[in-house]
Amino acid sequence: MNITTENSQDDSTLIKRVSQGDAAAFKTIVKNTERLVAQIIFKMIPVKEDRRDLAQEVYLKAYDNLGSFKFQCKLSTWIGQITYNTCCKYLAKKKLVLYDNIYGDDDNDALETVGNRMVDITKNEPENQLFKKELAAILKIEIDKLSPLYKTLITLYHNEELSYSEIAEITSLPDGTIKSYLFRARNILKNNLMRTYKPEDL
Amino acid sequence: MITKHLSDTEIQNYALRNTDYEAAIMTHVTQCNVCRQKVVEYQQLFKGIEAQDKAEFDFDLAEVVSRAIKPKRRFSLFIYFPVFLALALLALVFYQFALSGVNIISDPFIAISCVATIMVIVVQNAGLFKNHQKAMDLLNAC
Repeated sequence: MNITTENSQDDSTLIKRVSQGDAAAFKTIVKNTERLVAQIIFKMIPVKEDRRDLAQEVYLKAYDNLGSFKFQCKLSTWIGQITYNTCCKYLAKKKLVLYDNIYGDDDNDALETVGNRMVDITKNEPENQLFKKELAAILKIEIDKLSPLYKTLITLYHNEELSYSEIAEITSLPDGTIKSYLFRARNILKNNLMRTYKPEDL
Repeated sequence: MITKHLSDTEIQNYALRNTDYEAAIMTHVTQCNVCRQKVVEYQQLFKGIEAQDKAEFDFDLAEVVSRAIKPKRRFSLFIYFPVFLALALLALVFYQFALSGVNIISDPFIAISCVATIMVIVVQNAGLFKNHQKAMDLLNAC
């Protein structure tokens, strides 16, 4: 069976095959879900060397508990949930902070000049391309400065395009809390971006 | 007509385009330079976030995981048959001990007990060797 066919199999078929001792089926599950797992682990775990062990731990837990999966959500969401919980335990063990509420409120005055430049730049295509590249590099630095929870929420929503309810299932936080954290994270990100980089730097 | 500037939440929602806007909000954004500018800032931010490189492991996770997985063992009479047989033979020998006394054990019983002991040792060592090989495979994979 080729990998395309395997990947298109639904969760229940794969789980049934794994329960019958089919190792290839579990490999397919890993391949189907490893992007989500990587996104969560990379955003939550600052120590590169520990990411490999944690990823492995996540899938060993998933394998051992596959029998208790009740199909109440997608398999990827369930594995995402295991990943998030494993990362939270890691952070607690290392005494690292998951959610840091030290950020200040809006600083709208600082934003206006940069905002003006953004509007001007969007009218000029070559400059716009260069600006996008620079912005991506600067954004990466600024995203990395956010707390692990904010980073994870931003990534799950904007990069993985998960819904609020799917993110809520993964993090076991209420939908409303997810929304408010996301609004706050984006606001902090924008303000930090404007505060750290002067318009002439961008 | 909204005369005050929009809140940050309203601006983000407008920039995300994931809600049905009230006509008043849309009108305000088209008419208010400050709010329109903020919408553009957020839209640029969202595009920037979405353009970020996706995180990827620099190793074959599926391979590493599949090597680390211990297959779920199923109870098999075929695998455990030598153990049962060895235990039965040992039980028989000890039964003979109890009935006949230590000094009058016949040669066949000594032979049977030796065979049973050897079988137990072979089975145990086979298990140990299997576990050792798995551990070595795991170490090689790292």
